[in-house]
Amino acid sequence: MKLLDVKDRNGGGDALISLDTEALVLRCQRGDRLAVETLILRYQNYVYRLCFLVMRNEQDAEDMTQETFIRAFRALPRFEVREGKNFEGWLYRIAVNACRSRMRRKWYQVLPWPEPAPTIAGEPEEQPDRLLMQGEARQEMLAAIDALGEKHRLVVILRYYAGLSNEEIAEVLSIPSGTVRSRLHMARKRLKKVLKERENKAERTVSRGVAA
Amino acid sequence: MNCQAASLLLDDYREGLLSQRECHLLELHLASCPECAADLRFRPALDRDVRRTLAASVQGLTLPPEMTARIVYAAEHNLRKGRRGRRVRRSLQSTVMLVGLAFLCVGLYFLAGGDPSTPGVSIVSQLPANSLPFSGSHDPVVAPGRSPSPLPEPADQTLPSASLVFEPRTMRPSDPYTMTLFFQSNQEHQIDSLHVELDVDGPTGFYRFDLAVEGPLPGRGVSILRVTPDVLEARCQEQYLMSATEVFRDEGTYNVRMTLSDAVTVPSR
Repeated sequence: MKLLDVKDRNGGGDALISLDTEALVLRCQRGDRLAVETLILRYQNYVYRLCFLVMRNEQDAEDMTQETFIRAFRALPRFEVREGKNFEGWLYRIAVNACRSRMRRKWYQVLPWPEPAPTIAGEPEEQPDRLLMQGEARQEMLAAIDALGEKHRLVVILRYYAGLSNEEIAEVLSIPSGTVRSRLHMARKRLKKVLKERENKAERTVSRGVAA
Repeated sequence: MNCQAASLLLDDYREGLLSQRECHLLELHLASCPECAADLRFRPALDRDVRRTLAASVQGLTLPPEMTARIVYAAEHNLRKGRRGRRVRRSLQSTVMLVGLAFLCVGLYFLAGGDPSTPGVSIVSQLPANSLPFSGSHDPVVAPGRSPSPLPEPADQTLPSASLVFEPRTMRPSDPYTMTLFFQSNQEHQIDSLHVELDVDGPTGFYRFDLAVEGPLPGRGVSILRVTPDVLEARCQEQYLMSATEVFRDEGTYNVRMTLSDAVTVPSR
């Protein structure tokens, strides 16, 4: 699980920032307002990005982030802090369910992906030349992920963005882990096709360049 | 192992989560299947591509600060609601538990032989005709100090007869007691319901009690019915002695009327 954007905005939360999530949750359950803020700051952007990946537009992602925290904090007094039950997984589950219930509304219309950012942050040490992701290629991949359909797309997002294991995804989506495996298998099959096509395209471009 | 099964295991294989046997079977399949072997080789690149695509698509995306403030405010408000709800739920749970406990106690009391408070009359047993329960130790006498008497013979043989017995014979208002109604009938058809009108003309007032018996009762034979006295206890402070009984039929329902003939005031403790 990733922990992102931990900032101390009020100056009094230094001690809280160093606390682990379970300790923060316990403090929240006791009504500690500073702990509430620290917990939100710790997870807000991650939840926001997850919601953005599912909803595909910023406005909806903002709404769903707020909805996620409202639902989570209303249920927080009943959340049991114990070994084997992680807060992050619980929060993702709430976020995914909030997004799904919004998408199921009749009036909801799925929007296309927004235009890509001009530059892409990469991990140079991990980037082989042939897989350097360009804006166009990324857009192709996003379109392919988009075309997977809601069920498969959610599994892909939870696996590759949230970094959850098959069992954790199964818990978040309330489906058997075997179903997660088969959905991932199906999604990969389709995405592999896109990647192959792109590779072939790149090879053709290179060979044309060599010939010229 | 076929390609479909192998493909489903590749993730766990890469993460070292397979058992030794599964690992062995998969490796056997990979050695003989170039497609699955290629899939395994290709998978890290695919995973990396998908991961980077998703990460890049949300790179630099942060929640506006005013949104954070709204979320914190809403979260605090809902946390308070949740905590209040939890307190309410806890107190509700305690109440439900107490009520359940009370029901359990009442149930155990009945199981232990206590008198049910409702209905007013319950059927204890039903005997065939000519096996009246008044012989031997059972005493159908309705008034203390009087000699036992059998069920009054109805003038019309087709009409049923009835008798009421108080036990114990002498009691105080707070003493537990039972009131048993013997109902004898010679009808061909079963009796669906019985209505007992109990007229009590005591020294402190006149009361009428209506007790309903849901049948069926046998057409021929004696039904022994226990009349629960709790309905009387709250209002009567005397000991009542029943004598005359009258049975009459009214639109398919047999009515038994019993009238107090004598009364003795019970001295208070």
